[in-house]
Amino acid sequence: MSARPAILPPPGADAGEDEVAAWVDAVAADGRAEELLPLLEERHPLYRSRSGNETLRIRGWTLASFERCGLPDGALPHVLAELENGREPYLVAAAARALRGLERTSPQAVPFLLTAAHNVLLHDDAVSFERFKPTWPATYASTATEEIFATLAAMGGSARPAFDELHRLLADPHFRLGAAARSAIENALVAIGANDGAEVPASAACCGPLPTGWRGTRHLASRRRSARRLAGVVLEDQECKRLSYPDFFAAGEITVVAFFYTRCTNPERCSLTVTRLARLRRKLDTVGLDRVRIAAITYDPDHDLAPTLRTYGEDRGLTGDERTRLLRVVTGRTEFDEHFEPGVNYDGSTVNRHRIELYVVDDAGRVAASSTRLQWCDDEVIEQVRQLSRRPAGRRLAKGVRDTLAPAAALAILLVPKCPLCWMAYLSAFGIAGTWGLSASPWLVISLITLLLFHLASLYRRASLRGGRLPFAVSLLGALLVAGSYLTATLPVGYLGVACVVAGSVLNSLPEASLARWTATRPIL
Amino acid sequence: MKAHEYRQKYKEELAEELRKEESYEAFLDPSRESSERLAAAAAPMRRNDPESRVDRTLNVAFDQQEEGEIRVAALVNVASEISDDEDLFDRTLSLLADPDEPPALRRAALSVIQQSSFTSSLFDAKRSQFMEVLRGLVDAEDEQLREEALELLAIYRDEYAQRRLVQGLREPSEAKVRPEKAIQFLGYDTHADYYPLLQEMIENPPNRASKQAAVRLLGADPQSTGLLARIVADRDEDPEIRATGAAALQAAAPEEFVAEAQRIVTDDSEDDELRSALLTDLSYSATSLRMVRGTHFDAEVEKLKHGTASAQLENAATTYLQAERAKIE
Repeated sequence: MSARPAILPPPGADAGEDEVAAWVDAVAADGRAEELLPLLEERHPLYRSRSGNETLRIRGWTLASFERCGLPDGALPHVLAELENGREPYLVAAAARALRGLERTSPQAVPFLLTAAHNVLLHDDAVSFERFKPTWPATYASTATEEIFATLAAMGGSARPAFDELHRLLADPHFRLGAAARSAIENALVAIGANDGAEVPASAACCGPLPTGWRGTRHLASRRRSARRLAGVVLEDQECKRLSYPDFFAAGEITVVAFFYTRCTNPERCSLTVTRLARLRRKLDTVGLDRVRIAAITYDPDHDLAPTLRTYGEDRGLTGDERTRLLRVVTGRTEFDEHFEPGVNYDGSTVNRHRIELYVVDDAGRVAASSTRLQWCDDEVIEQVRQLSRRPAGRRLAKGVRDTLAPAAALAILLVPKCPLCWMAYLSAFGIAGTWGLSASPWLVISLITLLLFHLASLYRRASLRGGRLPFAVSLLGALLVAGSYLTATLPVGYLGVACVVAGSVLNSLPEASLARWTATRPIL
Repeated sequence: MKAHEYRQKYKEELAEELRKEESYEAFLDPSRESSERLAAAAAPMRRNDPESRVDRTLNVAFDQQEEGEIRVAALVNVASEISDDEDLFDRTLSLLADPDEPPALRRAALSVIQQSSFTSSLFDAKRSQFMEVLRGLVDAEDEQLREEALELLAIYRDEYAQRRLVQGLREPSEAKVRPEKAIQFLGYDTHADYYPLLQEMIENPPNRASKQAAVRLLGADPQSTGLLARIVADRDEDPEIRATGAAALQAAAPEEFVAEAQRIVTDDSEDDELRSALLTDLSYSATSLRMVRGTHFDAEVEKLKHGTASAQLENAATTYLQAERAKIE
């Protein structure tokens, strides 16, 4: 079946918010819920350079439209995030409405709705969805809590897990509910109670792993993007110390990364993120993962300078040290953002929208796992870190071989002769070593002497080039010892002589600078 | 003090309190002159009295036949009762929302409700209704009521209020408050994205106060440091606006501020008040003092202190030098 043509083209980044809202209305009226999904992404170009409230209006209007056109699975993480950690009554109300667009609501939505009710109960607001930009007094207005309880009512028996909590809210003398909120709760209780046929266990059904379609916020990366492009990214920590991305994130240790900014006004997001990172730090240390690093990176590097970062972290229990840093990106922001793709947008100089996000970065600086939108689970993060820490036996062997071969290769490169004279010296040394010890045939003696002279001549010539005569001196000593061993017929002396000759060749192959350190002879530059 | 003297003194104090409370009756007596009633309104009102003065005071507050000033005094006297009673709270909200009620009474109602946000758990339950009423007040006839409502909404970072404030700045005929007030109110929300608008206001300000308010707020915008530096350096600019710009620059770009401040302070041809203001800004910022350390600036300020005819500048220089020395120690 061919795709249905869009009624209107999606609004461009420069579209006015009224134009965007009109497009959302048209798409929703036609039941094209999937086409609205891109508008829920924080990074959408549409939100660039829009104020916080303009962004809020567009997002809220889009979310609320799902009540009419149905809620696609791809929108669920956004809806649940707004309920779990949102604080803006308009957005929370819109998210509650959006849930009514599900064909069948799972009882596992109940904890999110109850959390949302608690989040907004003490600072609720009048909201109106009668038009995109309502004027006040509005003809029809509700509140976020009323919308939440209305959704619970619409869920009927599926909302049974909320029964006890709703009763408690009504009865709790510390919660003074307005008349409208009380009425909404009572309606929900009636609606839930009227569906006793749907026997849903009071607590078990709302707990446990989230349904598959809702779980998309936490995953292990199937493919890890190389961090090579981040070599030039420079960050500054809370002590004003600057370091490159590889210095901290690709230095052989796993890092847990979360984003925040100090001007965030939602305590359920950035403030809680940093507080929870401090708690995660303690847990990692407790379970023996103290080598794991933690990085809290600000979305707002121009404003969140080092002293601000330090104070913000300390106020929330996150103290910076060698393993734990609060960071701002100083250079290479484009490459950094392309690597992490943080869920944030800006209205020019300040953040207008962002999400909760945590990443586990492997020891090569690549993003290996992520947890976005919903509050992460410490135990899941620790398990992801453990998985990354474990290597299969084959990989361990390969690493062992690599670890052994690497320095051996470096030594070989160091010792390989770099010029023809050096080659002559090496070969002649081996020739001497091979010849010496054979029966003292006159021809062999002549060959030995020839090789020795050849060897010494090449070293001498090389010495005058490099300005260091130690190799020549060592080999000369060796040659004298070899000659002496023939004359005195003493084998140990001969062995020593051969060793000195070989040593002289090896020394001759070393870089001038290394040799200069030993001989205090400056290399010829 | 002997026991009987203490008892006598206590009796006299009680009698005096009773006389004062009795005088409160004059406030509740509609046959008395307004001035007499208003004077009596300040007397203490016993809340558990058999004459039910609280209820009678409430009746006065909500009685549309009573004079406005009398009703205001009554409303203020029963503020704590309103904060704790849902029915009274709703009636006060209705009074606030009613355009036919006297503006002074509506302002008093607003004050009572606002007070309850600190003192009453009922306020949280009524917050949404209160916000709805406040938004309706944006179009109130009374300017003071409009301004108070808009300021409260702006403090709550209300999107409707921000929309109306920006609309008023762009189209003066739609303005509900003076432009400098609108800018001040928008400044309560760092996410309001008003910086481009503020930059426009600085180029074409409706009045001096607006320009100064706009300059002040640009201190929160790291992308406005160039503009702020230009304002500070502009000798043709109003010195007070330059000083405001310097304070904003200090927040947005401390290093640039220090460089500019040092230059201006050591320039004898610059305005003395401006130089004093910059020295004061330097004195009270540990960051700025740290940046200045190690330069010849202290010696320059020492010279300035002894060479200036301006007492204000001399005091500012003294304060700076003391702060600098204290920081070093």
